[in-house]
Amino acid sequence: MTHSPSSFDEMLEPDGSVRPAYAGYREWYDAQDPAALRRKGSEAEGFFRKTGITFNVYGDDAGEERLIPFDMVPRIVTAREWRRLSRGIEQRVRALNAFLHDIYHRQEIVRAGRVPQRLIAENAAFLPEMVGMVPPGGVFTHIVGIDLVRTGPDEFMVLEDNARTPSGVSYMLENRETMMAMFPELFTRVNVRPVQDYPRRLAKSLAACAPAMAGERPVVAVLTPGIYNSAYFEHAFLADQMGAELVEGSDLRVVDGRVAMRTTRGYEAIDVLYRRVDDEFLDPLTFNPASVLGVPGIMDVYRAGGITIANAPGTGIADDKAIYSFMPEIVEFYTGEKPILSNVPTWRCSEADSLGFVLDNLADLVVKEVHGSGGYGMLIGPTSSKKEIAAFAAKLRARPENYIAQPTLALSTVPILTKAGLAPRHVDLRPFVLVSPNGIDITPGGLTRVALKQGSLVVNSSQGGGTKDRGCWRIDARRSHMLGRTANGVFWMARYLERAENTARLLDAGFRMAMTRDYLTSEAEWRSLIETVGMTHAYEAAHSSYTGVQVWNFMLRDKANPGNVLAMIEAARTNARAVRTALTREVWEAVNESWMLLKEAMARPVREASLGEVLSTVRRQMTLVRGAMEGSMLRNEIHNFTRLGTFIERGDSTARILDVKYYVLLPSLAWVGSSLDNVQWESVLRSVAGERSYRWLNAGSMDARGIADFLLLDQRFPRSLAFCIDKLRSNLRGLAHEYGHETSAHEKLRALGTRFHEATIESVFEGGLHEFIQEYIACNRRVALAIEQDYRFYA
Amino acid sequence: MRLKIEHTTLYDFSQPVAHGLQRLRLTPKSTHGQHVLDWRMDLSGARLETEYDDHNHNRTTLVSVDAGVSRVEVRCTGTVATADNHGVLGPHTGLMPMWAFLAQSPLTRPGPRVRAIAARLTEGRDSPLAMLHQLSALVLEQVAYAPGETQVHTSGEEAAALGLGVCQDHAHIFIGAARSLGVPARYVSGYLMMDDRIEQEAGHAWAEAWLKDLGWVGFDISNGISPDERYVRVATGRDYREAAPVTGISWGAGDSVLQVRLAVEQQTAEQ
Repeated sequence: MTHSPSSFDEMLEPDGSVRPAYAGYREWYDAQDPAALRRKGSEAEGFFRKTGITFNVYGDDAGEERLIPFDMVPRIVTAREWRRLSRGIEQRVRALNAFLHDIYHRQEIVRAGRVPQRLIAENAAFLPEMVGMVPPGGVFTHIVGIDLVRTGPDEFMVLEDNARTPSGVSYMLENRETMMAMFPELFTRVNVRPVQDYPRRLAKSLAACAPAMAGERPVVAVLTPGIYNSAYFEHAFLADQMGAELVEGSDLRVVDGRVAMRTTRGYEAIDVLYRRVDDEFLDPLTFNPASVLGVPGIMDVYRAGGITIANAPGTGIADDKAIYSFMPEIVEFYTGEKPILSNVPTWRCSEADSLGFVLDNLADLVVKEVHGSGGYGMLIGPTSSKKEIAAFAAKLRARPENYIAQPTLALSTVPILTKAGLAPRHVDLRPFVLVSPNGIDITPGGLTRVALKQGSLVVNSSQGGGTKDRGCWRIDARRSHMLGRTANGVFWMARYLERAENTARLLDAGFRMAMTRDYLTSEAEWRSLIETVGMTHAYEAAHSSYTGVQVWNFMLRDKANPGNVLAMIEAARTNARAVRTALTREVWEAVNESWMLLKEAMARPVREASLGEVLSTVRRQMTLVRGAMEGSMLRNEIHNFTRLGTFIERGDSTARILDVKYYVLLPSLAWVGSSLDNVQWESVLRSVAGERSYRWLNAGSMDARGIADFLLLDQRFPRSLAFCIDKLRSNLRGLAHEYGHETSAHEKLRALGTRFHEATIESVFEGGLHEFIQEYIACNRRVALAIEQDYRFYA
Repeated sequence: MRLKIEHTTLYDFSQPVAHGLQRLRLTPKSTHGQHVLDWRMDLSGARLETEYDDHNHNRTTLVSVDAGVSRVEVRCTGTVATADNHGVLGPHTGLMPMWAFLAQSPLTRPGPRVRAIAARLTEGRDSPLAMLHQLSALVLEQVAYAPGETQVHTSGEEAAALGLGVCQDHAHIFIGAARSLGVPARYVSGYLMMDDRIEQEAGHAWAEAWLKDLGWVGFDISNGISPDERYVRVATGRDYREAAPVTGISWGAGDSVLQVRLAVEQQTAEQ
């Protein structure tokens, strides 16, 4: 293993001996089989993909998800190193909050001439709407990320402050989780302080910042821009782990002077909103009027003291790199102490002397935009061409106040696992800091980002040592009621899954039927299949004939058919993602895995030889999802709404299949005992997975009346209409029990139930099978609509 | 002078409202030169959500529109005792930094037409009060008072290009020009009792500029004077958007028609 001589390596001394911090790890590593380690590396990747630990990249196709690269070598910071870092971080975070308070009040630091007025006045992150505002608990930046770099054994420096919205904490937690699952023995060897209670500490810290009007157990919610946001996984993860509701702008409105979320039981006030929506989009009534991500009037409620917004609007001003260059002065001004952690030396290009120096030394410096973030708009002198440097110099001369410059640092390296074994890579470290009136709480660990392009994201670990127990958390957050949008999400997730499965069964039956027919009658079979799913118009717009391969591809994956099986699975997964916090990990993983498998299986048109396999994969995966629900979900309202979705959809599907084929069941038309009828009947039964059950119950005798009775009225068969009604009844009863009252959905279902209770197969045929089915479909739809309205799915 | 004010704002929606919010800055405060004796706000078709002082220290009321209504009425009534300070309000109070009143907004940012008006000034910065009075007169001379030609979203520059406008446009042009000359300036919305009538046309708007010696001084550009005892200040801000009497947002409401009825009269008998 080699490393560049100029950088400090955190694992190896210059002479190649192992530093004490890594001794335990190295000993363990040397005892491992390299091939096994690499195998575990790809296992970890598969695990991340299945779990959905992904991020989206801005500018890519909406919704394209990427994996965060993961490395299996932990970053180790010793307890002694950590203690000093902690003191420095705490001091800095205290100063940041004092600075933010001052900037929105008397601006003493400007009056004292320590920070130039220009830096505040010309800063777009300064929000006049915050002037005079004292947030509940006096905290401006509740969650801070301090980016640290290291250049030597004792030299840690702050590279950047993230007071606005530091992200990445979920990757830290998931990586630790993965490491512990894969290498439990490593953790018994190296004594590591836990980071896993971060979400609980976050919840407590946020709850402690609740406004005075909040009850003893404040309601905390996480505001996300939605599933297409790059950090959606993190938003869902944190909400889930905190036991907080994950809300979107459309869930919220001002009610009774509070910001409230639409739950299935009505509007419920939020005390603390951990928002992951930028200032600009937070309140269309105050900021960007076109925003649909925020809540109109939230700033009014905020100024009136009715909600805590974390972090406070306008905190981004502290992330400005020109402000950063004043952090030593800022720390001293508010704490009266010398800063424990130093800044990376910084030249402010707004100052003539500095500008001259920077222009003369561009090839050796890193130049950054003061308002920039994410590495955009910067120059890295040593790796830039002369032409790039000249072009940048022109930009710099035109707007010097827009830039700062820093020396190219010899950042420390830590080992990562490469094909050739351990190899050093440059890294930084972002610890996460929680601020509340109870104090400043630093997570013993952080996110380590590897600075190289091909680098990876690894989790840091810190070693041993006494925990500094802050011990004054008394306030717990309270679980709120279920969001209407969440009920909608699980309901539709279940419906789409059911629909995908039903379509696959229908195809399977059609396929078998067509195999037994000549060309012409098989074409009629395929046509009736398209008719059953109500897609005749869309199909005929795309195709001029009905052949098997066209029909099954149309139903499985054709974009011309918005109801294709793959689209259904994807819609189910999108719903599952949007309500991720309401699902167990098992259910989410089963849905996500189904989508990944089927996307792969249907990446290209499905040939006849592989159709059977594709269809059985659909059935198998849906069975897996059902099993995960059955085995892992609480029997509460979430479960009830999921089941309601399943049985509304299933009843509708069985009814439609019957309706298209109802004439083959009419006794008057039946050629009793003919082989054609037998095939037809069997096909109907097969498309609802009922052929075996029916035979079992009827000892092999088949007749139209018996089949109709079985599919409509037999409460034992899980796809009969009567069974679906019975399940709807028990799940609606569950909701009535949990909510303490019934709704119009109960009433509508009761009407349908009575109709079925009184029906016999004779009375059905007497009144007309088609009419009976049509009436059922209409009633079933009315029940579904009533559920959507009564439980506030949309409004 | 005691002014009795009765101000009704009516919103008529072409379709019933599903949900709507209105931010109202309709409550005057007792400050320099005015003392609010009594004031009340009555709502119909809407309900009070919350009240607070905003960053400009304006008393602000957030109301929500009741679902299903097609008319909202906000009725303010009260009595304000005023004094004539020749438009001089004195030192800056509040926490808004003075530089905030030098920064231009989309409504005040001068373009060539506003700069052309400022370029006609003959008075210099050495006599700022005279310069601002001249600026006020120039704005009125170049942009004639003409109701209905501009809207609430019209910027000062657009109104200057049109050569027509109302008090809001005059104030924006004045503020934009003053700021470009290095004089902090702000927007004021309020009431003016026109001597010849009780029923006033609408709420009034004017500007205030900050001078080292005098502090804030008011300029009613549209009437060519500094505010006197016939004026009641209700809200201030960096531009109309921050001092607007009503800012609304609604869903499912179709078009809305706003009507304002305003009566300001002098109360002669002490009650």
